[in-house]
Amino acid sequence: MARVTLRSLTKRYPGGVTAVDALDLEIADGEFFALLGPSGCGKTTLLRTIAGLEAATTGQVIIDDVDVTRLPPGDRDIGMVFQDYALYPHMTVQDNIAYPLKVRKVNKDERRGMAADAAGNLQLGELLERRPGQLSGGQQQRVAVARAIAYQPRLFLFDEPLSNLDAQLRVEARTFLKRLQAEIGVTTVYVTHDQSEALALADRMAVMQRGRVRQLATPEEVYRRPNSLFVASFIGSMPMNLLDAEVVDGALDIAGSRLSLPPDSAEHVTSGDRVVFGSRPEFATLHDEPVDNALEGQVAVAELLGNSYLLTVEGSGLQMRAVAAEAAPNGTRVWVTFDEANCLLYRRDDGGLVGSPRVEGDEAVDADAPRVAAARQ
Amino acid sequence: MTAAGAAVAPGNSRRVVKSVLTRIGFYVMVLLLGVFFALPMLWLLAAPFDRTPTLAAGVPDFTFDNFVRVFENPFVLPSLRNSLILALATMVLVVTAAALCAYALSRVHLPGRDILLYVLLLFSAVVSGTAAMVPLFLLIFEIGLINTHTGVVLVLAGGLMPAGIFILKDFMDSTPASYEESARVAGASALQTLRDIVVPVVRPGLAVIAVWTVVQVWGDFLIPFILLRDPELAPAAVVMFNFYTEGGQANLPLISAYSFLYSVPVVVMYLFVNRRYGFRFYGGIKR
Amino acid sequence: MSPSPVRSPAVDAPPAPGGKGRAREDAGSQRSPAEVLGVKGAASFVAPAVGIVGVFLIFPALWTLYLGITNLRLTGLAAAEPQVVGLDNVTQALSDPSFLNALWVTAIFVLGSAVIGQTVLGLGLAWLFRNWHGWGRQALEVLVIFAWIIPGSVVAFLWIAMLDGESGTLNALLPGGVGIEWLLTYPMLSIIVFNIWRGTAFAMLLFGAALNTVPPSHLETARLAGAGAWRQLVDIVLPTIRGHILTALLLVSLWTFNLFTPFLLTRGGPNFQTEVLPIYIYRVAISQGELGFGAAIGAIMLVINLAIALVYIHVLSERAA
Repeated sequence: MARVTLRSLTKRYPGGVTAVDALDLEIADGEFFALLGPSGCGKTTLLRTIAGLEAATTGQVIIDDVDVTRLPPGDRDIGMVFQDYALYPHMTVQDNIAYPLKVRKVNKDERRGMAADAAGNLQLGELLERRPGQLSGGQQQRVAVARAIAYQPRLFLFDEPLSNLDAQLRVEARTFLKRLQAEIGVTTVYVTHDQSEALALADRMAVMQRGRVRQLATPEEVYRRPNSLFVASFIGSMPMNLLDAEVVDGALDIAGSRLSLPPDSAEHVTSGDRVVFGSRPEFATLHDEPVDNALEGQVAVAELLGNSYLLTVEGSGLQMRAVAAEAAPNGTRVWVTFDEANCLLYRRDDGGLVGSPRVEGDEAVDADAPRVAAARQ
Repeated sequence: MTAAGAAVAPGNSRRVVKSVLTRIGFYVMVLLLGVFFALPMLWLLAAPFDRTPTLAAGVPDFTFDNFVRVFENPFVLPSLRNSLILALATMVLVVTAAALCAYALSRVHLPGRDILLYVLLLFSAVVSGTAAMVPLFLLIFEIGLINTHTGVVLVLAGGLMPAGIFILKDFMDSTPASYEESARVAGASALQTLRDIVVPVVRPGLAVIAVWTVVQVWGDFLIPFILLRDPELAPAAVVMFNFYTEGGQANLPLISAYSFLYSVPVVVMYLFVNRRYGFRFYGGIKR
Repeated sequence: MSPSPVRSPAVDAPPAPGGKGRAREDAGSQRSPAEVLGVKGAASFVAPAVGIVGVFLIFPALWTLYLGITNLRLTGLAAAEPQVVGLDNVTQALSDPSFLNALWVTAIFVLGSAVIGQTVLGLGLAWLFRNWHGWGRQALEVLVIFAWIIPGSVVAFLWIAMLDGESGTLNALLPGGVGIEWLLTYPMLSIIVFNIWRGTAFAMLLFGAALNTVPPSHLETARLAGAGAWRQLVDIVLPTIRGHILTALLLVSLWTFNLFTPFLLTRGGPNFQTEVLPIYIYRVAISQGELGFGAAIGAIMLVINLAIALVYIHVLSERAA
């Protein structure tokens, strides 16, 4: 299997757009690594540069201590699944899966066997003689995966492989992929714009913005302690509560109400600091009578999530969201408290997590560079 | 019957009358159009099988004799062979060169590509065989290809090439690059990718261009008419014209059977394309 | 684990020179691994097609402009040493009644058969076909398309036969045994009707595709508001497809303007009544050998073609935008 190292990798397009900006990254052997970010953040370009489909402008791609930056894609021993699956419409499922083996001059009987094995692994045994046009979206997706695994490459690259499936099928395919990767144990780089996919699948993930990694951590860490306002607002299926606040006498002033400082932020702030207070709806609690450390408001909207409700509370010019076991009628007065261990403070000027090194202006992304370096082990 | 009911009835019947009149108008119009388009063609279906064909279309006194006589004519078979040679040679040239060009233009951002496409579009629209009759004649004369099939093929290929490039480029552009990328990730060489992936995927486009080129060349009259002097080299378009314009009584048994033989291939090709790919419409494909 | 049959060339590849971590500036001399062809490869793919088009399409067009200002002749002194005569050919043409006649004949032919005939009839057929899927529609459509694809010299003779004065089908069908020699009595009308018959398929197919771009919901909205077929056509369909109408008008005019096919029916006669510009060029340049003068007429045609083509390309880019 393989370890992937990127050294100050940069991809600039002729027009002057820098899609990947001096990026350092290390992906461990056998790891399921997700690249997450909004469209245009450079994640797909990064993946394609690892594959060799885009040429790096500067920097290196190293797979298992061998610099492959200038090698053509076919010499990198990589399996790739494309967003549109790229199944050849004129070949049967069997021939599609066997095509890379044919290119690699595996003899006919052997490649039939290997293709059948891969197809069997992905429950495609019945479909070997069909053409891609006769398959459902989910089946096509599995054929694309089968084609990538059949020749046993040392590295898998996935480019948004589930984005063309409908919601229910996507969850099934996700589970399937995670189990498959765990079984084969091949290092996997997985690009997605869907944060829930990255959280569900990855061992480790990088959140990207404008060609740079903004946070590199485990999904748990990214979810619990997003290191910047950008990551905080990008991650989570429900938007995080992000409230403008000011530090006053060792406490937070939010629109005139007082909240105590989150314990691990207290030492990094002083009176007069302007910050953003962040806490996820899951960590908010509603009270029907006044309590300390609470923000007051009225229930404006209640949405059923399944076994709980998402309540939107408005008051003093603030809007907060909280997950509650029961709905409350619109207009009910409530007091919202936040679980202190899961509260975060961000600097209002550069968006960084309070306590992390700061950077100036638009280069705020550099705030993450030391963390990226540290995470390289 | 109540007063209210009586008040409704005239409106209803008026509508019925109107809709009947509309229907009748529709059928009359369709009938007239059908007669207009069918009438000239009746002769082509009837006369070749008539023992004594005249200029008027009529129910034939059935015979195949005309076809026997047409093959005895010393010009008929060579002219059809010449048409076939010109059509196939032009087709191979146009399909190959246009496909290579379209592939490169679609996949590689060559410097000056947009200007090249604009020039191709402009000149293919502006330059016709008639407007450029004199320089084409002189050019072919100067390079010594006058009275040769090669000269005719080159001129026809030059005229048909731009449209072939545009249509094939559309085809390539609408083919996702991920097909080739996945082949390359798997390790296929450029040649393997072309042979195994690109050509099969765009085969419908190649077939359409091939059939279109053959139909165009098969029917073209002007270019062989001005570039070929030797009757032995003349394609069917020119020989056919000579048959009915040379002096004396037109040889109707010969002309009718010859017309039929000469028309059948394009009709068959149309039916083939229509059945296989659907007669999809590409803007401006026929000139 | 059994040995993988898959080769892993990367393992054997030497480490890149330049040292670890040092950013390598773009190795411009090397072909990037990302491009299958590279610029040189692509250029060699483009070259054959561009070469053929350049020599046999673009060069002749430019050469016409030069030849048009010479007194080149097919034979005689001016064949060996043509003189540059400037715009003499053009002034000569503009005062030549037979050129002016050809121009006038061409204008009538284009206006009657292309602008009015093919466009209106093509739109009408497409409109008739829009909701009609029976065998009658298919038969009529196939007839129209066959008229378009059967070789020109065959259809020309079909029309000669049909329009013949003594025994043509048309006279046989008309009551009263009129015996009109249509091609001699009404030559212009004959070639106009012939060309409408011959070329309507293009406009029909173009408008058929265009009508499919009219969203059904727009027509349904109009029908709910009580609009009949005629109102729907005028208020909804025509405005929606006006880009296609303009395209059809321009292309059909351009092709008809350059059409040599009337030659097969009348050879320009009788008495030059159907001598359109293409036939005129043929007569002057090829038959009479006045190559320079013929080229000048060709150049005038090219300029007219260019004007139509520029409008056409403008319309195309408007539509794409």
